[in-house]
Amino acid sequence: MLPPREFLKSIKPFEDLKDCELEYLVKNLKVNAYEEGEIILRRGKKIKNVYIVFSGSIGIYEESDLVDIAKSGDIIGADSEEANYNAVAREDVICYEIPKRVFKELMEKNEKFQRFFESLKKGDFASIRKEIVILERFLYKPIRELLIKAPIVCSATTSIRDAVIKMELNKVGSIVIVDEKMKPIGIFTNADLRRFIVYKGSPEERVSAYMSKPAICVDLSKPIFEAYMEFIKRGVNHLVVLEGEKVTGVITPKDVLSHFEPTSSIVIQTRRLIKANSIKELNAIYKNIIKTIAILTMRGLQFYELTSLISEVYDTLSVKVIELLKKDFENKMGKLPDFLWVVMGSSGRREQVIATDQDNAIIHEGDGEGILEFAKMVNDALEKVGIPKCSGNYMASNPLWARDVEDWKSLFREWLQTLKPGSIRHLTVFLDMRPIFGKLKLYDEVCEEILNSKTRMVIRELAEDSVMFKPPHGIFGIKGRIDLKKFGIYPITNGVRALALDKDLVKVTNTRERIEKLRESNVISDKTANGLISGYEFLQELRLRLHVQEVLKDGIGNKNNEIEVDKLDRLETILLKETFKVISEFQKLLKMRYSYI
Amino acid sequence: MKAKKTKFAVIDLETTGFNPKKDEILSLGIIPMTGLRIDLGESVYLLLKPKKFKISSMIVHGLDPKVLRDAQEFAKIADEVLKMLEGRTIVGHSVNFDCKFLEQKFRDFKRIKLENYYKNKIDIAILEMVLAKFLGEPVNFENLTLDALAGKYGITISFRHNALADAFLTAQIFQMQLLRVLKYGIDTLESLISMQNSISKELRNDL
Repeated sequence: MLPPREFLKSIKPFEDLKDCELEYLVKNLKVNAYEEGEIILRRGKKIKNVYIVFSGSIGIYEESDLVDIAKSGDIIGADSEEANYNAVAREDVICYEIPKRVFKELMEKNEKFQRFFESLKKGDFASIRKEIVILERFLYKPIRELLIKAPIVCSATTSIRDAVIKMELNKVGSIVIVDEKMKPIGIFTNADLRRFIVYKGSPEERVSAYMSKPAICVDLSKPIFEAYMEFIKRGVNHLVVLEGEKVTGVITPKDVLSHFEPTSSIVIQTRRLIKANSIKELNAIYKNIIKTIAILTMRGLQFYELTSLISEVYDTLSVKVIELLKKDFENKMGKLPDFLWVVMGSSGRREQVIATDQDNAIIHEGDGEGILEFAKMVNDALEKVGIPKCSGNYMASNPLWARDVEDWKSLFREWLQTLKPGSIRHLTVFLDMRPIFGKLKLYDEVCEEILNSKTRMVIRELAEDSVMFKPPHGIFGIKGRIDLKKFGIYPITNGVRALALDKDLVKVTNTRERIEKLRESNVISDKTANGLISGYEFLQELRLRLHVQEVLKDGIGNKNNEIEVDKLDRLETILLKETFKVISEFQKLLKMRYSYI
Repeated sequence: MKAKKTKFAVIDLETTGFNPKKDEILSLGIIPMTGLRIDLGESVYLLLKPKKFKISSMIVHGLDPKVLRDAQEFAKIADEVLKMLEGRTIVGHSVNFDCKFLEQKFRDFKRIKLENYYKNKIDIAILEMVLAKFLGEPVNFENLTLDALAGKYGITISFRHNALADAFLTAQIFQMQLLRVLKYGIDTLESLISMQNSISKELRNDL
């Protein structure tokens, strides 16, 4: 392959060209050099070529204002026949030039290539630039790749002095305490050393007296992504890496960070989130996290990984806010009764995307004195941090959704057995309930009640919700704007929820996990399960992309769920069609099972 | 003549050895340039049929003897080559070597004196020495190989030892050298050639 082909292949729209098309392009290519200050395109003059900057930089001037700078890999002259700007070499420049005639022929031959330049024409420059970023699926590399040093270990009977000397000699921040088979018993870190000093211990004491246990462990074959999640979730600085049961190394966030740059800031920022002391601080950190998540999405991070990442951030944030406010509240107002903070809806399912509202409730014990005021403070604070309030007022500060556990149980009983208007709507929200903070026993009690009170009737009603909207199909159906939520996401979440309740899976709230469990219990076939999982992921990714574009544009998520079919590429249109087919099949299955006429 | 208007032909040969009288040309890449512009679209890449194979050099060039068996004989491509070079200034890396080879083959097969058809020769290695002299840099012969020059000018080398790829590499280096030479006010072909010849003379004296 000639060098110009390789260079062209590395640039976004040209990578879409077939080999023979690229060949044709290279055959007609000119490589031109311009001296600093030379005018490449003159305002009002016909553009004869499409210019791809190979090296140097070109200034784009409107009147005398510099409006853009084109650098290596950037393309100019593709959007119009006549220049409406001056293009001037800001330093010596080398350009690959394609005659317009050849360029137009390629546009006609290759749809993807054409679409790229058409969105360019519409001034969608920023989003395309972002697309140029090469997709990196770095998160899938195994943790093994992070291991550099052998682990520093000692036994439980080692003295603190010896352990610390060993750490110092090896310049590490932790030592793993292992048994004779190299199985980890605990870990002694710099933080433990500080504790030891505070407690004025003796250096002759055993290290096991001050170690942290159990040590948080990860398997070396697991993806780095999982180690990354552990750092976020646990807020620790050291993870013990195991091979089987044996310690093979220790990794720190630094090791993970070195592997991926933008992601790294999420780890750092989530750590800051945990350490934050005020709502204001939380807000600043959270904003950065959302931006970083948006960039990760653009880089091709997939829905399931992304949502588990977002969930982790949301949960950490919520817990932090609750902890901060609870301490404050109890200092002033006295102790709150035992309570459990739960999230519902997409947060409950761990499927929230960037622009998700607050969906939360409180289950408490006793008379619940002060609970409502406290809940209101939490809701307000979460809003301030950046999670908008729920327009349907499904929030813990709403007296309807802050109840005593007995009250909750009877409410569920009522919904599940009497089928009043609105019962189904409430159940679709509250059956996805997931505990976040507080007394877990309360959640168990409510789940128990749900299992005892469910009726075939209510399951049937719930399932009916999912067959209500038939997805569009065929070339006539799939066009214009399509509401992904109404026709794609709802039928799947609702149908799967109904089946999950049918199978007593009340504590499984994630749609994918529900589908997996239903597959295991043979309620749905392998084929349907696979179709639903990948279809659901595809729909959510499309939706996510809509949201992300909003976030990158103005920093605030918007809740647009309508996709424009014209904007999809061919592959995506096909996938959308297939997904709707799977949904239709799934709806048939539900109709059969619950015998609707 | 203005350097920016000059018609160049950048060439590179792959041969079976170093002796123009005995060895043969295996492949030939020619890329025309007009001033600073490389007209890649008008380039040619020709494979030649050698009379005898030297397996050792086949391996170096990565040319498959099977492919070469289908290649043309020099007499058949000579006209095309002549047309590409006629009236142009030939540019190459160690261009004298390549030219000697071509001249010999034209003499042998076509009874033509190629030197009468092209105008001048520019060797990018010697041009690099001209530039080094301007900048007061010491000249080190190791830094004048094609690879070293490509590295110096930040051109990534992905595919060497193909006559066309090497010719393109040479053209790109020459393009950047021209940009630099122009900055020193040397903007005619004549001054370029005379600068080059002065260096060549010095070099001959050194040797």
